Amino acid sequence: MKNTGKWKRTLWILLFLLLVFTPIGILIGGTEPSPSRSPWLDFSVALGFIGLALMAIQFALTARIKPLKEPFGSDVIYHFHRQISIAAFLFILAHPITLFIIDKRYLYLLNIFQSPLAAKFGVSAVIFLIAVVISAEYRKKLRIPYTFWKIWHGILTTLVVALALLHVFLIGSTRYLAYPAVKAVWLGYTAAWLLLLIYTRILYPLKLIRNKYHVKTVKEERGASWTITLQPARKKSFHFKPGQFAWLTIWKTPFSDTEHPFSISSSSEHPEEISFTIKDLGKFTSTIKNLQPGQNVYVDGPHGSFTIDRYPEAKNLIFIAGGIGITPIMSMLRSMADRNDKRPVKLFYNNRDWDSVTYREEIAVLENKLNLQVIHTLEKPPQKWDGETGYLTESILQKHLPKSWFQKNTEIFLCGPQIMMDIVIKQCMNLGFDQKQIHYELFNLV
Amino acid sequence: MQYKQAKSFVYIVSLLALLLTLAFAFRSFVF
Repeated sequence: MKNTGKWKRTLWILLFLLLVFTPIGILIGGTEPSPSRSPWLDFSVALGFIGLALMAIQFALTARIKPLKEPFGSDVIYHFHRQISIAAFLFILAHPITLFIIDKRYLYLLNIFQSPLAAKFGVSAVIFLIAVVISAEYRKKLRIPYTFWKIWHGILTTLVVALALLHVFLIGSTRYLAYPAVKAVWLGYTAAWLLLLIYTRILYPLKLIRNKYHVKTVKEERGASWTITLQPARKKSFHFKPGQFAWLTIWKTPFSDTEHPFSISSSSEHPEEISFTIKDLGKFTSTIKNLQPGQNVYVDGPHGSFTIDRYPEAKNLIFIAGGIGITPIMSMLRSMADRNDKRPVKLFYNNRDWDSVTYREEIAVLENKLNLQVIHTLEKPPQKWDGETGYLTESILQKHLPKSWFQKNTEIFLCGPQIMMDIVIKQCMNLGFDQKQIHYELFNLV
Repeated sequence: MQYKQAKSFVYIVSLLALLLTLAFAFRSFVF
């Protein structure tokens, strides 16, 4: 299973490199240098080509193409999308800056009221791209609501690529796009990008509408959380692995591009009904309690590689959850109970106080069903509490983990607030666990 | 750790891209 994943990853990486470097490869191999032209002008053009190819590829990375996401994990793909987009931005920005350094007269192109049409498109694309990068990097600091940001991120990036392609075709027709091979490559990229847009903006939402779900129940949980259980409106239901997540669109249609990611908390052995436990943390999540049975919910999933099913050879399992981070782990525990999986499990579960321990009673029941030991750590313990207190520490982990667990066939699954995950990853590594044994997913990328 | 690998890959791709842009610009000298 792991080897197949490795091959798939290698193939996707090769395809990525091919797509990034084909335009520059064609330029190098298929065009003639002009003696009257500054090499730095060509350098500037090539920077733009690389930047635009990278930008166009982002639409494939974020298009939720399952065969692409599965070998890497959705969070790694989004992480990569963020990093490589910054590289694309720098290449695109370097394109006009190089021009201005070569010859200051090019600065007149910035005056979009008097510059040629091709320059108008190019300058507008760069302005929109700057807005995209700033809003993505500093969304929280600028207090831009997630849903608003997500919609505008989609609109602005589409505009950037469309304007940049128009810029390339208009300005390039007199120079490098006069070469049929170069023109063919860019026509191909444009066609592929348009097809991706049609897929993500029209076909994919239509598919979600066709496979819509209905709310079956809405139940209050401990810790200001609500569990919604969904049933497919039609017979078809998806199969998922315990620990995976889905994007939910509630109150609107999938065309609105307003979905939010949530971990599935129910057992993978019962895919006919799927549950999500959502903590009331903000504007969107505070509306969950208002859902009514029968209401439509659009579910895009399953996604993610945070699952015990990727490690069937694991002998011991360590689950570490902080607050509502328990939801994917709950799916794993429930699935293990349904599968009669008796592998030893230690669950370290950190909460503020005893009353806000989500699934507290059910976890106690699972402790008897499974080979499970739960170690609760409470920041504000009640009186007469003889369990662990404060945050999870290295000494708490060491105290509860048998020596025989500090070996290769122990797998650690970690889910909680970012700050807790950063600390616990370091603690686990200090205790001698290998990075490859620690599994987690990060979603607060913007 | 796939996050770190992804970051390293971004650096490698960027560096390679930069080298190829330079190779293209100065192809009359390079090739």
